[in-house]
Amino acid sequence: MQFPDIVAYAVPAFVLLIILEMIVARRTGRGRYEAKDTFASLAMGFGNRVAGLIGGGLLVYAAFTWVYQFRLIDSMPVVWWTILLCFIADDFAYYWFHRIAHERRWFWASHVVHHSSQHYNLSTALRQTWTGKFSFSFIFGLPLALIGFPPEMILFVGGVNLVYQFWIHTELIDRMGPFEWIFNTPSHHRVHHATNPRYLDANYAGTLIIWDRMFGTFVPEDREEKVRYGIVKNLTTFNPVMIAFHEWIAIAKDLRGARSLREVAGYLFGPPGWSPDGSRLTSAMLKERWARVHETQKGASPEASSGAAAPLQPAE
Amino acid sequence: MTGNTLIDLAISIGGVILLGGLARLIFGARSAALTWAAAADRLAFDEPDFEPAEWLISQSGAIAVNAAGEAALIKPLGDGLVSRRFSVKDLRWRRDGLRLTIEAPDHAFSTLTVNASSEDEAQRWAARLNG
Repeated sequence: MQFPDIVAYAVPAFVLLIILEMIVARRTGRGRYEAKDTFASLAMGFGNRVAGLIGGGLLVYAAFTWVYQFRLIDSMPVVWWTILLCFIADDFAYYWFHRIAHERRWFWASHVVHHSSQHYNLSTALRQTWTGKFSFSFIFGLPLALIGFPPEMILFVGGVNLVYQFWIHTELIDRMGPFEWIFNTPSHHRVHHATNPRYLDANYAGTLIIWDRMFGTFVPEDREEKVRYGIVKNLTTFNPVMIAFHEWIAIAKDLRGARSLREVAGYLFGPPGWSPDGSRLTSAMLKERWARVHETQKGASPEASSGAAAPLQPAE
Repeated sequence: MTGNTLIDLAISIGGVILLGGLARLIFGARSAALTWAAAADRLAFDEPDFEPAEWLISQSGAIAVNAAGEAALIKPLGDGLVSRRFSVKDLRWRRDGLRLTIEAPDHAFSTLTVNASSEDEAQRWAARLNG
């Protein structure tokens, strides 16, 4: 059975939906685009495609094909229910890839690109890594080939998952009722892109939010708290090359100063923000700081909190 | 790469230009206004335990220092602001008249330019940055 390149087929729809979102966002004032940011996001999407063409795609296919020769189920039928099973298994693998991409710096160095915009709109969905395939982020899908799902099927359902995730990058769609119990939605994914400490490291789902609910990483969106998008140390450039490689450059600089194997391992595979002396902040440390400051401010009088100390909550 | 792939890539570049141009057309070229309120808001969110003792704010950038010998640098990017926190002793800086150019030890932040409003203010901030 031939599987179509579903992402390529979806591109015209992506373009139309982005134009539609721009018009609606402008008219309603909900959501916003910034031209340079949009250029940067789209350039990252273009670069991601080029990276696939110059060898990344081949590398992934070769890896899946190699593992597939050791498959546990020899002749998996290519029928609707195996495709559905493959999709669910792939979405489960995606959850773990995505979670580890946030928790381990090696994978974060590629994935950070997707989070590097302070905007959240459909163009952000296309802000994709150039280095993900070359840094082996596809290894999380290899167990599917080992089970016996054909590589073409795995790549197809991966494409379906990617297309699904496009539409959830918007501020125009509010809560979605019971649909949100099972599926990833714009509301759930806004939380994932937020830098608000209480939202950090949450909602890793691709299509099914059930994995977050099962593994304790689900956080619902709170309408009372304005979402701040981006990364905890936002970039000061729209240069696509810098966006693509800034974390790799940071890793290289850290490795140059590493004094032991422990430090090398920590800089490469520790959580983002790890440092030997604890002088930088990981997500866990940011959350602790936020809780500490939050408690202090709750206990302080209004006079005290409006003095020299800056307010915790963003001013509207 | 086949001819079709090259055509595909050329169309993709066209799409990038089209959508980027539309964003510019529909939303204009907005730049963040670096006011005290905006800078304080950004800093309060990024560094909630940083208590600024003094600010120097200009449209190109802002700097705040606290009692612990730390500096928060803030600069505009598009319609948003970006901040970083450093120890003052880790900053390299130079002064050209009223202009202070500060180099941060962070390749993803790089250089910040802040303009003082008077010679006195520039001198005072130069002294602060000297520790």
